[in-house]
Amino acid sequence: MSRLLVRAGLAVAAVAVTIWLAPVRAQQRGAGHVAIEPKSSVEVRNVTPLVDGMRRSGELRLRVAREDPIVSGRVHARFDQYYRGVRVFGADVAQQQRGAEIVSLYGNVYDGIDIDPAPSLDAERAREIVEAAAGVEIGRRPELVVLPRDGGRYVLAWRVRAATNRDLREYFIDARTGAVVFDYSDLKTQSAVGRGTGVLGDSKKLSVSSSGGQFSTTDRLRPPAVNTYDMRGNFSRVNAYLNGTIQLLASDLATDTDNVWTDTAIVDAHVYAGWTYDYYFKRFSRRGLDNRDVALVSLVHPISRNAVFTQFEDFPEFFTNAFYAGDGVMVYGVGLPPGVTLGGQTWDFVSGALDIVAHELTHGVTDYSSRLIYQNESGALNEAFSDMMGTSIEFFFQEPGNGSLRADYAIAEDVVRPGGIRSMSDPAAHGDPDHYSRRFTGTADNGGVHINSGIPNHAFYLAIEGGTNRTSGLSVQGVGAANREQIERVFYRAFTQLLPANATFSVARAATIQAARDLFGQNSAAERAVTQAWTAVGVN
Amino acid sequence: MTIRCAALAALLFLPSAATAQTWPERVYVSVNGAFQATTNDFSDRFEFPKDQETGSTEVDYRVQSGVLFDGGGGYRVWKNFGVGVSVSIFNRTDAAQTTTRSPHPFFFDRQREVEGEATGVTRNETAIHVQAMYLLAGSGPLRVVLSGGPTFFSVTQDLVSEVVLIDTFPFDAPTFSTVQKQTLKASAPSFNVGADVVWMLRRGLGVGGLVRFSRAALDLDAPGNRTVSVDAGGLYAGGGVRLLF
Repeated sequence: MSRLLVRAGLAVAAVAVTIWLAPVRAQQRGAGHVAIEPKSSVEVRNVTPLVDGMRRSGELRLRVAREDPIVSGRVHARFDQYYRGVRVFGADVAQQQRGAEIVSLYGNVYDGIDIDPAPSLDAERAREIVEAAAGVEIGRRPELVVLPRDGGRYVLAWRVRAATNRDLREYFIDARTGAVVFDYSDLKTQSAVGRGTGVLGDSKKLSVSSSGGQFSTTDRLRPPAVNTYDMRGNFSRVNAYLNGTIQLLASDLATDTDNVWTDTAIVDAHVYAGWTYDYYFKRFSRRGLDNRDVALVSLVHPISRNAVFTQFEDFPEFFTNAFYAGDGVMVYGVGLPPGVTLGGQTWDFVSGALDIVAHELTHGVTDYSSRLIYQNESGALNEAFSDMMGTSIEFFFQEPGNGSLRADYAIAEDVVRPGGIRSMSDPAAHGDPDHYSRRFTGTADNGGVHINSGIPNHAFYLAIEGGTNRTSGLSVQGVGAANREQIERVFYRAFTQLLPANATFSVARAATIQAARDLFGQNSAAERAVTQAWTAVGVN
Repeated sequence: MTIRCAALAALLFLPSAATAQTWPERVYVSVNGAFQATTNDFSDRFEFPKDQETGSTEVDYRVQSGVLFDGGGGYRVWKNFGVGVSVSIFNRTDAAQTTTRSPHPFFFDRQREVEGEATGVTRNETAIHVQAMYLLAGSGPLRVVLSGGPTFFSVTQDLVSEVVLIDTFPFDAPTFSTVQKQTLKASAPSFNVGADVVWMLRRGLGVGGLVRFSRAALDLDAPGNRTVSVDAGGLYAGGGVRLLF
């Protein structure tokens, strides 16, 4: 026993020395992760002791060795890494030999593993957990593995594979707590373009994934993951996910068998999330909400419409609202059943309005940039920026005009009929102020974040279209609809790069004027329009 | 027009009837290098399903004039009349211009147009000319052969079957990458008329100048139940060695 320990110790020392001596050949890739990737025969020779040492110590065990069917005299061997008898998931080495000579050697191994390899949760219990998650019966015995995680952490986990009619999924169940620590689809998928019908009956394309004759709402054509989940009215599951107690699974994705999508709320949520990404990318070269392609997650059907009479009081946001839940997650309300009105307005599936989808996603942009505090004037600026971008995205993808699927300055008018919920051209039409002197100063609505957004919204409108503010009577010479891009860029620059988190309207005025000068020069038409617009709405 | 030109050319070299004599030889062998003057450009258009819509590609093929090999022989059967057969082979590699309209993956009715050039598009024409011959000999070294008869054309043609685009997010401006080609074959009967003027250098050996016209229209059966019509052959002229015995 002691001799074995000595040998193991020597091997470990050899490994450590080799890693230290050969940083190029066996590179440390994050805590504990060592990538073996020699580029020359010399480097192969240098890294070989590392592998030999691990083999002698039993850390690497031969999985398979086969003769090369193409190049005679070559033998290929694969070794798996084990930690105290438990396989380390994803850690292996592929070795090519010609006689005694090692020709090539590639692999990934982990060091510094220090966990108890004895599970406190048995395999049967792990299997039951996965059966419950996947909704299928599993006959295969789970495999106990060491699962490397970020930051050099390791988890002793049961690996269970579940095959459903939608997916082939690998689950990793923490062998102590029973939590799902990691799961991924092992089903090889590819991108596909489907045809769908939106909430307003319009036909549009969806970027989806296909696998095994099944299509699911995972966009594989855009740089970020754009996933749309059909929560099937399971509001408790939605809440559990939003509270971080469960993960969404592939089986939660919306699916279709013929790639002709008829769930209108799903179609629009998925398509409009993609369009919003496209707008930010094309207009501002921004890569998603965080500018680093954070995944866009849309939750649709968070509750059943039929539950409106019993659940509206408890979950109003799941009916007549949409909200950004942080980290790229949006939730879209289901609206109201036909014939049911709220304040004299009907509510369709909320995801059917492009400006709403873009509005909610823009809250994500704000979250990742200025972080405007959602209260009082900074909160109103936060809301206003979402309205500005939501409207701009309408004009980017839709023809200007009145009515459904037309770009205008009304907010949510496509699904909240008649009239929508706010107007940028005439805030007073919805009882919102169009001038700073009329601002709401109460505490409701977080200090009037939705109400007072009418003031900067109207400034944005006037800077583009021009016109006269009804309260002040001051006229603005806008840049014109053909040059709306100038004002979009000015406000985008100011709101994402210049504003502080607690900005006031006055600071927003200064920042947008500065942005106009930065982009278009002093005394440019854009600077003049922005300055006049803020003055017209009483913000100085 | 080209037929008339060929006939005129033959007549210019025709020995006068007063001096025409029967060839002493029975067998006539001709080997020529020639130049096919006719261009046989053609175009094709095919559609393809993509992203829930239909895209299309138009291809303008160039089959330019070029060098041709011709060889054959004949046998004088009776008096000045004979029969013969010759083979002409024409190979050409040209470029084809492609114009592809590819549907946008995110939007209906937003086709993106991409132009490109497919290189290495080959055309091989093999024509077997069966001939009735009229062989004339003058008093000097001049001989003339007038011929005509059926021709059997066999054409092998590369067709662009797919244009490969480099199409990445945001998918607004794809660029041309390469093409996939397939080789199709077709054959068709036609006719030939021609004249060969031979100058005998010594007994049994001469040099000659040949003019022949033979042209055919062929249909290539392309995938998707499409038919691509192409022309083959045309007027060619050249010269080479003549063996008579």
